[in-house]
Amino acid sequence: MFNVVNIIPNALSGETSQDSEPNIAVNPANANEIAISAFTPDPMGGANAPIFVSIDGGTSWVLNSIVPSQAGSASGTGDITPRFGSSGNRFYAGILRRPGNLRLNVLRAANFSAPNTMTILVDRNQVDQPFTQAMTVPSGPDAGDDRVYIGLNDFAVAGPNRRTATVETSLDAGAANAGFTSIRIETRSTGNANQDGPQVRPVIHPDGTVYAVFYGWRAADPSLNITSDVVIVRDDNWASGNSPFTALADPSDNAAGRLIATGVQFRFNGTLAQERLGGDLSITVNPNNSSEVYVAFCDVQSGVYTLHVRRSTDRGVTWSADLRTIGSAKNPALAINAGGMVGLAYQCVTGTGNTQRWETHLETTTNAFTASNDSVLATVPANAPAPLFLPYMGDYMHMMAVGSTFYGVFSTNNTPDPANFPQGVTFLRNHDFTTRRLLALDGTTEVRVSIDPFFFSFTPVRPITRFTRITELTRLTRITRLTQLTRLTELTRLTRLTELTRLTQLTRFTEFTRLTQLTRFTEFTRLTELTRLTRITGLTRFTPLTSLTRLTRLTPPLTRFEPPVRPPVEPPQVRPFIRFGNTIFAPEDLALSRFEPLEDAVAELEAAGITTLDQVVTAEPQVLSALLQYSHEDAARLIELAQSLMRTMRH
Amino acid sequence: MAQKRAKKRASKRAVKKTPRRRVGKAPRQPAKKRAARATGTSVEKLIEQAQFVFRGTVRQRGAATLDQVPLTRDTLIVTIDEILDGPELLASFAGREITVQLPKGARAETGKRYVFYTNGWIFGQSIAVQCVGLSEDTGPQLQVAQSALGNAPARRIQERAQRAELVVTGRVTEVREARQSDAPITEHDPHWRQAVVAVDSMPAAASRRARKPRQVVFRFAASPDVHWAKAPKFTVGDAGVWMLGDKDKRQTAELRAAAGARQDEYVVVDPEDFFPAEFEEQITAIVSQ
Repeated sequence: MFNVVNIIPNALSGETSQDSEPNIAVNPANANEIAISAFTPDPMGGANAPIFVSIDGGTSWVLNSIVPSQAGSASGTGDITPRFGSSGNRFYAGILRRPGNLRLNVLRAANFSAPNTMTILVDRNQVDQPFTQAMTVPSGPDAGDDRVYIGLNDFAVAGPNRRTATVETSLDAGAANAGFTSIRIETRSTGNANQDGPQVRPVIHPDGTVYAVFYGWRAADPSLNITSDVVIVRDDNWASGNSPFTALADPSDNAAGRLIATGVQFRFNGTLAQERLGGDLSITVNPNNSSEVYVAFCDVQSGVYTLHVRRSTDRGVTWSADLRTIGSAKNPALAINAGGMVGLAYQCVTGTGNTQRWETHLETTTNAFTASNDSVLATVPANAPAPLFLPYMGDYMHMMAVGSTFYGVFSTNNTPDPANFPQGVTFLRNHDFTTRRLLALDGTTEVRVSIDPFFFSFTPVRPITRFTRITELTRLTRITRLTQLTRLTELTRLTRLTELTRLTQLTRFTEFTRLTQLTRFTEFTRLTELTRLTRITGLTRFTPLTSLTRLTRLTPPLTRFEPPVRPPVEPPQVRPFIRFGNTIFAPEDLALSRFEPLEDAVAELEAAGITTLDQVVTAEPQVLSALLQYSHEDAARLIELAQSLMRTMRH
Repeated sequence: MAQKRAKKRASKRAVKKTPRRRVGKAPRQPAKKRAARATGTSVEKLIEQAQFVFRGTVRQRGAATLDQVPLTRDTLIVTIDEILDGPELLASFAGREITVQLPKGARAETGKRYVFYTNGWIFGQSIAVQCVGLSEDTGPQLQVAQSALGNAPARRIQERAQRAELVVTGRVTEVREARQSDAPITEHDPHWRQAVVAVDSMPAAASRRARKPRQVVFRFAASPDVHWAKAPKFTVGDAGVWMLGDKDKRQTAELRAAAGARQDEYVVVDPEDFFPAEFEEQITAIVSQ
């Protein structure tokens, strides 16, 4: 189930800024609290830069200017990546501060939606592209401490042969003295490049495993053609020991840092459809298994900027070949949800010349990309609007998972054309979907197209795998080869069974069930009941018929006849059902526990006597509000969600 | 007339649409009129501090037009009657209700009109602003405010000119590469260029030199990167007024070092360091005062 929202608030309907390079932080302790950053200036040109704030799971958004910056800045702040600690609600951000160039600030706020300017924890120069990750220690003696890891490129490292890839680390970032230290993670020569790449991306697992991936630059020519390795480092205890990030060594040289790819090449400040290029990295770890880690990186292959996804299942020791290879793609954002589903969001260019489009995709997989679902979140013209600065859409975007839901953000052309957003879209700013025009606050003045940030969330709907005895399979039900039918499944006359459908011994065939030539391996057991109109085709003739198989007058007379033994006639079963509109559901199909998006509310609903989806759908908000002691808005939102799920069921 | 009525209706509609929240019962109005001189700060000072200045009528206390605003007695719903100074983006808020958070110690009465000096706070369905000061909307006070606001741009230019080491008018005759060899490779590289300006004049009052130089050389950031988005860019033939250097020696030295500039070179990265030729007469007049 997708939710895509243009997050520019209604009050700023007239804005035309280039709100690029977005990043997102979802509070793991309360997924309704979401912060998004982008190159968005303070609407009044104030001294603080704003963040976008939602406290209702991404439905509505406001701007809250709390990031220290410089009055009148065109982009609010420089590079910025926010994160929440996993408990305690503390909110962190690593930024490039204005005024100044390459000036790092590490910031903290106790409450991201309060108006107070964030507290500065670190303020120093010569740093590029800070990328923040945070997690609260879940147990043990340090339980409750916020660990914050900020990957960055630190030019303050003395040369020559500078090893600049760094993780700025605090083991207790919530303390008055956060005590950040700079941990250098490059161990190899950077050659004549004399530095690493700007992208240094950490990721944290709650068991204390911390990975970081970076481009270890090895050479750079005067045109900034870069030759680089893609290097991953690991620490098994929160980077708290004497030799942090040295748990992985590469067998080629025994130096710390496993080489995922070597000698990759790209041009720094190259271009792709109005966007600049210079390397892209993303990393994620399975929240259920810190040994499984995915990395995405980009390089140039045969002149095409190409995105690669690889995986390790042994804590980064060995790596797969490409699981995904996508041409003309950048801004990878990987995440793994609580169910182990892997999400890959990215942006790519399709078409040529004036028909080029920037597409934003979300691919999900449960089998390491052997098969995946690809959803286009946005497809927009690549030649408009003209860039006001670079990056056009961003040097990165971000996605993370909380529970089963993926939350992400991307920036792109904001033309309000529903065709540009195949999963649907909501605009908070004034717009007209019919004329595809943005409108100013007055609702009539046309506003020119610009780059806006779009929030998205995706909650996988749990697949229906169990057919119960009263499941009614209609002619349009698609039964795949892996569908398992239970012994009481009733197959109706139009059910089509494919070659690998497994029928169990008590599957009942009705009079019109058609067994096709592909059901040739079906085993008829002693209780299989073939009625008078069951068509047994030429290819079912080798099927062993048991003593209880009933052959009717229409059965081809080439089989051995056994006197029919009529099984006892069962009285017709009374099946409970729920009718909703023109659709009939079994009660258990609508059991609330089947719907993951409702899982937070299931216990409270059941305690109030509400056990099925239809009850929520038809509830009055005020009644639900009173029953659950929810706010009216929350009750209405719950009903809306249930209605959306019901629509999915009916379709 | 009909147009006026339609406008009024539209304005009323906009006001009606704005959702209201209230905290308990609206507090009783103070008997004394303590509103105006809330902060005791001069109007000029307030204008310096505020980004959004408007005349507005207090509709309600202890209430807000946005759910996200924490309510206190000093939270007001105010109808904007006239925007005196603010970003173009918010011009459509004239006639609408917004939320104003008063500073500590300030008072405002329901139904009365004030001049509010404010900064942005929360932007959502509506907007909330934090008030740094307010004054009564009486004739003389309003005149002071309007006059101060009218003079503010000129005052800023004068201040910049006074801080400058040199103010010149002229034309760019040459632009050349000025990359620093030891600069790190970063997407935020300024792409320094060196511009040579043939000097036409040196506005007398702003001059800190005895003689007009024949030419000046400065560095500017040609990078399209976001960090340098507002930094002025130059090509040969560009003409106008330059305000070069800063009397703050430390700041000037830091900027020169960052740009790899020599002692006799300036660095132009602030939008207020340069005004194009079409404003030359105006700027020259202002800085010569």
